[in-house]
Amino acid sequence: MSGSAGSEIDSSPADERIVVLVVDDDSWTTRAVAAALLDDGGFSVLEPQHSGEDAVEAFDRHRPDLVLMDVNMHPGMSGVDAAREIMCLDPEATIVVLTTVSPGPGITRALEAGAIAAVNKSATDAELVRVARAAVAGESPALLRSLAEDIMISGDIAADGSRTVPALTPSEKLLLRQICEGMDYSEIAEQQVVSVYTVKSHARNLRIKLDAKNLAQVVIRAIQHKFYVPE
Amino acid sequence: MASAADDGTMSALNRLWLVFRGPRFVDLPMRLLALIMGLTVLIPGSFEIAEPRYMVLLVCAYALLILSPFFPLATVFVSTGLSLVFVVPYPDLENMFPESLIFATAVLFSQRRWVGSAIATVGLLAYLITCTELAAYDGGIAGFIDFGYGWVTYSLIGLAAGIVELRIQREIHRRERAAVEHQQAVESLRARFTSDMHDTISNSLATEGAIIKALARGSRDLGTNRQLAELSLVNTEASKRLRQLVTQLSDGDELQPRIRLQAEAKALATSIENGSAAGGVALTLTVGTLPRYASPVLGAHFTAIMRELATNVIRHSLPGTESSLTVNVDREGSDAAVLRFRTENEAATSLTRPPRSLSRRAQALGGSCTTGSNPQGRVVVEVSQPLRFNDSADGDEADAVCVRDDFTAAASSAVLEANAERHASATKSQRV
Repeated sequence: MSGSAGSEIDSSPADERIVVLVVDDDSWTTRAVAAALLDDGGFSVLEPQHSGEDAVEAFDRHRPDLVLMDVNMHPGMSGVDAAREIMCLDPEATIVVLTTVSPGPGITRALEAGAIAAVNKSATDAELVRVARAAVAGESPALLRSLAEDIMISGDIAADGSRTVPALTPSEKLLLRQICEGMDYSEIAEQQVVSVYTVKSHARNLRIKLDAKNLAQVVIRAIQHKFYVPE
Repeated sequence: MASAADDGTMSALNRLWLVFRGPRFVDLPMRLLALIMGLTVLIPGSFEIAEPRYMVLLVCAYALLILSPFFPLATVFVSTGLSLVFVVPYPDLENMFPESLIFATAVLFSQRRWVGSAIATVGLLAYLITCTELAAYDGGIAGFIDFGYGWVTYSLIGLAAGIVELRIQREIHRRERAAVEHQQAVESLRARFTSDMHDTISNSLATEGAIIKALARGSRDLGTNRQLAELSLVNTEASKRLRQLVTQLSDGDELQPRIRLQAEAKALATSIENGSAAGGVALTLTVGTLPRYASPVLGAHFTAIMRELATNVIRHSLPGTESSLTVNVDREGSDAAVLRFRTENEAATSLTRPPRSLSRRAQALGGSCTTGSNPQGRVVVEVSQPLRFNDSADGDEADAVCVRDDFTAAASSAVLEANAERHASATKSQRV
């Protein structure tokens, strides 16, 4: 089936609502996700796209605030490749991967390509809205709540042979664990009895040490180097 | 005692057999041949003279023949020396030491020990030259031709045996490699199939979930909405179960001795909330502090009770109203507790008796299922299940387990009761 997500699609650049591009080869999924965002009232959803090529073209044309991208879109360009191309067009683009209840191997590759989080396409409307808002607001470990488990289930965690395992201090390992568990910066600050600014600074240092471009990649590295194993 | 002695004897026999059989496939036939040749000393007329020294040397020669497949290089040196010792006092008598020397040469050729074979050949040449010098029976052109022919024949047989052994070993290695590669290919295929399968199934479940959401949005019929909520519950339960199965695959263990009750309860609550919400039923789940670990049996009952309570709420709650399901634990000492489930919802009519299957399960587990109303007139269903705590084997936190589990027996009696009711109603209708 194909079709637009609903009757209220507004791509006006002057609109204060968050502009979202939904990409999935399944039109029911794009309908459901778009409807959830539209019902909230704080989002403006572009015409859903059903292939990687169309997604890149739509992104280049509209430059949305957020892209919700499926991983596997057969045939043609995958979500991983589309994410990579979008990051080339705009390194500051915000991409969140749409996964399923048991994600396949593409999720790790999509995160390595530049996506900052993953959300289950079958999540509740409230959860979809929460993740969309949090992603647009900026990176936060709260976006990564079930990411570690999703990565383990996907089975795609083989480390690049060139990466050496960095040595982490006990406090870095604790921060890494808290990030992987999806604790918010404020929660981490409260537990560690430090300021949020300090936590963010340590998180930045951790990212550099683990050679990660974003917090999602920090989680990947943590699993690859066996610093963290989800229960 | 007797069996131990038998085991010891059998073990010694086995060891003896393994020693005799040898490590290679061609060892056994060569050793048997040597044994048969060596036993020809027992044939009458083997001894040309009755002199003791001669007889001892001849027996040694045949013994060396038998030993040559086991210790070929040692046999080469010993038989070369003893052949020279024999030929000096008995130059005109048949010397059997070169026979063992030639047999040892053949064994060395079969083992592809070229240096040892060369030493043996040199030893044979030394003996023949000595015989020629002494004008002994084995000397001269005739001796060279005779032993030369024997050396060529046995060496060729030994080489052939060595080539056969090599081919057998190579074939074994080839088949082992092929078996390992086949196993790896099958594992890879299985992993790819499993990955594709769960990817396909999870995408299908996601599409189903999206369709349910879309239908629920567009539907105004109350009955349809409830059915959609139930369908959504089934969809989320299937999704959750798929995730559990895939997680087990990833972990590599199929059967766990304990489950993480708190974590799984929260995941179950989320999936039920999602399912209900997708069908337009506002059901809020609250999970209190539960035991961290529990037995798989307790986990299964926990899931069944939660699902049944949620399904009842979806079926009977008034549309557009809020419902709730809470679960927590009341501790009763250090090794006992009670698991308490409670639902509250508005309904068109109050419940006069608790749901039958829920009640039966609760009683089978040593608990209870009651129904009533709260002061606001909302229907309340409460299920309680007593628990106790067992120490875990690895000294970790204790596992919560059921105090009693007669559910299987209860399920059987339910079948009997249903059959009895059907029979009674059938009898009644016949009388009418």
